[in-house]
Amino acid sequence: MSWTTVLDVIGGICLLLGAFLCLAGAIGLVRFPDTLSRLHAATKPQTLGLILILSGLAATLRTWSAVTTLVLLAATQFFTSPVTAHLVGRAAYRNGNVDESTLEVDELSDALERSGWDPTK
Amino acid sequence: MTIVALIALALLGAAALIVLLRLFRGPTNLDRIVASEILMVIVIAGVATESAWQRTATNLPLLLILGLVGFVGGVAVTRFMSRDADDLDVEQTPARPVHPTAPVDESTDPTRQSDDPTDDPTDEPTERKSHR
Repeated sequence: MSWTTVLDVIGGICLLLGAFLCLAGAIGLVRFPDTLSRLHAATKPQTLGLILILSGLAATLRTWSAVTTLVLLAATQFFTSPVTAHLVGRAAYRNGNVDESTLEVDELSDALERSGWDPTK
Repeated sequence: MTIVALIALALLGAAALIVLLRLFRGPTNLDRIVASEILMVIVIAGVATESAWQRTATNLPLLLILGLVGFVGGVAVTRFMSRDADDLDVEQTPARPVHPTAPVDESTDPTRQSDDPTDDPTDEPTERKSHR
């Protein structure tokens, strides 16, 4: 068994795991009841699923130019997906889409009340 | 490798269909934004799987561009959506009144609005906007 076969097997396993994580995230996106919990389900394919698929692709291609491009893509995704998640969570909270009875700790509503923000407006 | 790629593409296709269901149903537009982010990740994963299947590095710039376009689109639509909820009545939150000759800074300055006699008491959208 040569190195190329081993790398091909690793790449195939990574591709399958990443595709399975995408499917799991999609199922969670449909099944979960709230915007914030859907956001929780959405981060699984965004980070781990994507990095599994990209490492599978890197193990299949096995060239340095491909590996650097894929590392750049993974780093970009790691830096940009928290920004989008933060914006969506903030907008969901301020639009009243969050059911506050389901929250264990809610520090944001106290801080917003102190700042004079009225949720009924 | 062909069998692995086909199985992965089948999983991704099923995931895309389920995400499309959420994109269609989603009670608020924020759910649709989250669903479209996941759809973009699934598209990236599908292109990556296809290029692993064909063993070509031709699609790598396409992957990078898809990631960046997904981020920019998601942020732009979220900023647009966070102005108002789609469940609220739009008539209760009128658009911010803008005087034709008023300077632009006047609407963001709360002290100048109170002693402005021409300004009727519709300064709540301004206050609401300043906290967003």
